[in-house]
Formats: sequence, structure tokens, C-alpha cells
Amino acid sequence: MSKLRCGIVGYGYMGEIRKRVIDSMHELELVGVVETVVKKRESLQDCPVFETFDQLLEETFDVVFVATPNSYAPELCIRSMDLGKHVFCEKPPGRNLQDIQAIAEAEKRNPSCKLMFGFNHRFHPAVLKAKSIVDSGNMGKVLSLRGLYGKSGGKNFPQSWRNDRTISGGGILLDQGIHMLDLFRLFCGDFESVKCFTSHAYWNLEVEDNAFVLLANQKGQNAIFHSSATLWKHAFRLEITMEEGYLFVEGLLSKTGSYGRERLTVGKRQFEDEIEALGNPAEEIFYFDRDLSWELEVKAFVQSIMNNQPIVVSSSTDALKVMEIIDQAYKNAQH
Amino acid sequence: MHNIVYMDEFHEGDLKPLEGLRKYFQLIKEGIPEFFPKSELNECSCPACSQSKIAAEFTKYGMRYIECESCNSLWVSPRPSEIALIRYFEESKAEIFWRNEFIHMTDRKRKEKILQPWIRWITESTQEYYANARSIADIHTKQPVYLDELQKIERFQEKVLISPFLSQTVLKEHPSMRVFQEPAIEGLENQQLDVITVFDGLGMTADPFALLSAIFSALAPGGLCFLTTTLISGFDLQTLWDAAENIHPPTRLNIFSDTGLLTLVQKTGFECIEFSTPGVLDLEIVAAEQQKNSSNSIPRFIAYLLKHRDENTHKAFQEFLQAHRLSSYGRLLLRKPT
Repeated sequence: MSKLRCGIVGYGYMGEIRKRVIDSMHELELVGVVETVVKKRESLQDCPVFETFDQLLEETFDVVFVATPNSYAPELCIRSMDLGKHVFCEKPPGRNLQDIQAIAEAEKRNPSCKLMFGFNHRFHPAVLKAKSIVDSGNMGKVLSLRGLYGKSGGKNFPQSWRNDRTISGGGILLDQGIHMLDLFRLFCGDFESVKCFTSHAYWNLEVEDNAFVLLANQKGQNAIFHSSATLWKHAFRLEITMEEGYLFVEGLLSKTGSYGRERLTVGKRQFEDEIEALGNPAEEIFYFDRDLSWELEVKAFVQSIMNNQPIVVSSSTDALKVMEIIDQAYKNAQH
Repeated sequence: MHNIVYMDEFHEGDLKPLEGLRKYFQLIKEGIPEFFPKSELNECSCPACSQSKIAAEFTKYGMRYIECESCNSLWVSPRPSEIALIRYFEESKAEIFWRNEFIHMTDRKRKEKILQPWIRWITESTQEYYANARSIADIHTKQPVYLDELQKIERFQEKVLISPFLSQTVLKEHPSMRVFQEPAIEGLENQQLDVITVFDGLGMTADPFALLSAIFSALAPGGLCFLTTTLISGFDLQTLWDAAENIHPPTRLNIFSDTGLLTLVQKTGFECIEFSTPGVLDLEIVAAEQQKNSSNSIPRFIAYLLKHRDENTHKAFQEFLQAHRLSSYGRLLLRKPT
């Protein structure tokens, strides 16, 4: 089968990662990168570089990787699909619910185009292992979830486009917290009831630097999540409490390693004498060394295209549903 | 690749009672000159990385252990041939004592603390990484009780046993298993298997690369190999070095370092899914050796840790060893790429 020809729009942190993955996959061929910043364009020596998306469109290609700030993503996704291109779009899928609804509409009118979003955490090894344990049914049903995801922000954090509401659409909850909420959906499905408090605890931003979200669904599962830009120690922790035990996903394999060693703790509930057991069962801890999440998610996308199968992970439905939660959270926080 | 940390509670004596162990070692000492005349031993380079430069060496039971300067694995050279080894494991008094008496002294604890966790590891990992697996083969087991447990696993339709040194009694007790009473490499020829288990077999083969390659060839694409082995990079072996009782020929001809073992695995083409060192006995073994033989000097810090810190600190130290792959008990899950 011939290679899928790809273009990348946006060569920031995510664009660089996507280029590395595309370059490493024999099924893909990079036809060019669109970047508006001159310095970044100049840093790219090994592939064609364009200043505008229209220039890229003069090339023949099949797939667009949208790695731009949030405000540009909807138009790029919609235009690309209307031109018959497959689209892989970074999270968040736009600034708000309306943006993803518009993207999903474009997907509907272009049924031959595959659309996938970069909910990359689903492909992290500890999450994959946790999902496999949950799906095995050996530990019973999921009862509740508790999440903490936060970063510290640096010297230039207030100046980042991520904190400019007109470009980003929201603060830390939309930018980083969306990953955790997506994982909540991965393990529990949809949540109908959403409560939220947001705060501007430290950074003087127009968007929130902390969000506290409480969720409930019709299956009786509850979840609580703290998303923060004021955690001076980077943290990622997802606790999954089940009927027969618990799973803790902690740390994330990342370029800097600042979230700590990625690990999964598995504890089995014990029915010992409560006086002796003291709720402290023996645990099994899995440490993970290699992050293949970027490769795995693009591979899943490419296979869907090549085999003409529907996108089943990180689909537009996943994007829409998680944005509904965020929309409800922001609305609830205003009351 | 991942590694697991699991702090179970048992003691060295639960698995290897001292009296029995003494007799076993005595029989090994007596058996080595009988089965392995020096004139029939063969020189070899590092079985992990093939390098020949020596970092250190010592002699144990008349055999020379060499530490590889490159990957720090420890190996016996000159060493017996595979044929001589098989004859030893089949006929030596030490091995007959091991399988007929010694191993049965601790059947219950061994089953609970070693074999059942192995079975859980095999079933859960197979479910996760190769859910369609139908066949499983075990190679060169020295633990007949393990076969009882293996026989009970329902998920595999076909169970194969490849071992030239199991007694007829043991074989008769496992009628549902297809048996090849041959050396592993021959027994694996023309096989197409989904899962292969090699518990401690890698340490006692004359040619670990040939064994792993034969396993690789016999596995179906995506097939899994579950492997346990003793690691020289582990805390007790590094601390006690030539005084470590767990370093002894011919059961441990190849004692790989973590780096060396990964090098060997990569050479064969396997993908390593898991590499863990879930040992719980390292510190206890060092403590026991110090008590038994106070002339053996161990580093002052370790002596201080043992003497002045309580059980919780010792447990945390052992957990640290596991988390950083520094226990001497290693387990690997390998997959043949599809």
C-alpha cells in the first residue's frame, strides 16, 4: 500500500513530537510543515516549510496534523475535511463546545474522512495497563475515581497563549485537565452531573488557575478532580476504586520526567480482621520505562485510515463528550 | 517495558531449609569432579555480550567464575557441554536429592509463595498480551509441583513439557501434558507454541543464546516467553560476591547482570515487555550470611542498616531494590514480534 502523505500545521511542542513520529513510521510521508514563526521555520531543515495553510494545500496529501493553538484548530479541521483530508487534531478540540460541535458536523458531511483527537494519555503505559485490569473484570466494577493533575507554570506562564481566553477558550482545566476528564470517561463512561469551582489562586490570569470538579453518573459512580496550575511540584495521579481493590496511576513518562516515574499500583481488598489489617493491603507496583503513547495513538489513527475502520479511541464523540463536561463545569463555576 | 514491585512475606528458610541446603551443596561438591572432568570443559566468552575481557574472577566448587568487564555478567568458563549437564541433572546425587527430597520439604510454602504467583503472572499476562493463546510449554523445570499448578490452568488447551530429567513418576502424574523427554533445543524443534515458560533454565544451560533462539523460533508470532533467572546485579550477590551460596555451579553457570540479560534478549530478537526483580530475600540473605560467618566482612553501611534499623526500614530497603531492578531474583516477559 502506498504511503499516506501528511502535513503538519503548527510546529510548537506538539508539532515537533508529531513530526518525529511521522518521520519514524514507514506508512507515513511528510510533505511539509506550516509554521507562522520565522525562527521555528528556519529551524526546520529536512522538510518543506510553509508560512500558510494555503501554501501547504498546493501540495498533494492525505492527512493533516493540526497542532496549533486552540482558536485555529476548528477552522483547520473543518476546511481539511471539506477538502477530503483525514485529520488528527491535538486536544483540546477547540475553545468550547460550539467549536467541537462544528468540527463534528464537518466530519458528518465528510464520512470518508477519519478524524481523531490527541487524547494521548489514553495510550500511556500505566493507563493501558489499568484499563486492561478494569476490562478483565477481575476486580469488579469501578466505584469511584479521584484525579489530580497539575503543573507549576514558569516565569513566562502568564504570557502563554494558553492563558489568553480569546485563543485558548479556558484555563488549566481545558488545557491540561481535559486529559484527566477524558480518562474519567475512559474508565466510567459519561457523567451527567457536573459541579465545579474555579479559582484564580496565584497567577493573575483571565482564565482559571485551579478547578475543582465533582462528577456523578447514572450508574452511581462518582469522581472528583483537581486541576491546577499552582502545584509547585508537577503531579499526575488517578485513583480508581473498584469493588475488589484499587488502582493508582501516578507519574507520567515525559521528556523532562518532572511528573515522576510512571507507575501503577494495584491493591486487592482484604477481608482480614480489621484490627490487624488496618486497611493496608499488600500492593503490586508496576513501573514503566518507555513511553510509546505518541507512536501508539498515531498508529491507531493510521490503521483506521488504511483499513477504512471507524475511529474508536479519541474519536469526535470522545471529544464532544469531554467538552460537554468542561462546558458544564465552567457554567456551574459561574453560579 | 515495565517492572513490578511486590513485597510478599516469606523467608529463605521457608523455601530452602538449612539442613537440606547443606546436604545439597555437599552433594554438588562431590558430584562436580565426577560428572565434569576438567579435560572435558570448554572455554567460552561472556554468554550475554560475547566479550572476553575479565573484570574479576573466583573459583567455586572447582569451577572458575568470570565477571565480564563489559556487561558485568558472571559466568563459568571453562564449562561443561550441554550433554554433560543434562546427564548431571538427570543422574547426580545432588539433583536426585533436590527433586525427590529437598523440594518436597517446602512444597506448601513454595506453592503459595513462588508457584501460584508464577501461575497468576502467566495467566494475567497472557490474557493481556496474547489472549488467543492456546498452547503452553515448560522447559527444564526442576520443580515438579509447578507442573501440578500448570496442569490446572484451564485457558490453555495444549500443555507441553520439555525436559530430559523428570522422573517417570512425575510424568505419570501429569497425563494431560504432551511430554518431550529431550533437551530443550531438540524438544523445541518443529514446534509452534504460543507460550513458553523457562523458570531458572537460562542459568543452567551451556549456551543461553542457543536456548533463547530455539524458544524464539518455536513461538508463534506474538508468542510469549516467561522467564526467571538469578541476576548478579542483585544486592545480595553483589554484596556477598564469591561468598554467596546462591552462586554455585552447575545450576548457575550463567548469572547475568541486568544489562547483560537485556543485551542477550535483544540479540535474539525478542521484545521485552517486563523486566522485574521482585525478590524479597536479598537483605535477609546478607544478614543471615553475616550471622553465620562473621569473618565475612560486609560494607559497614549495610552492617549498620541491619543492626540499627527495624523491620520496616529493611522492608523499605528491599522495596527500593525491587523498584530499581536491584534484587537478584529476576523475571522477564518476552514477546516475539508479530
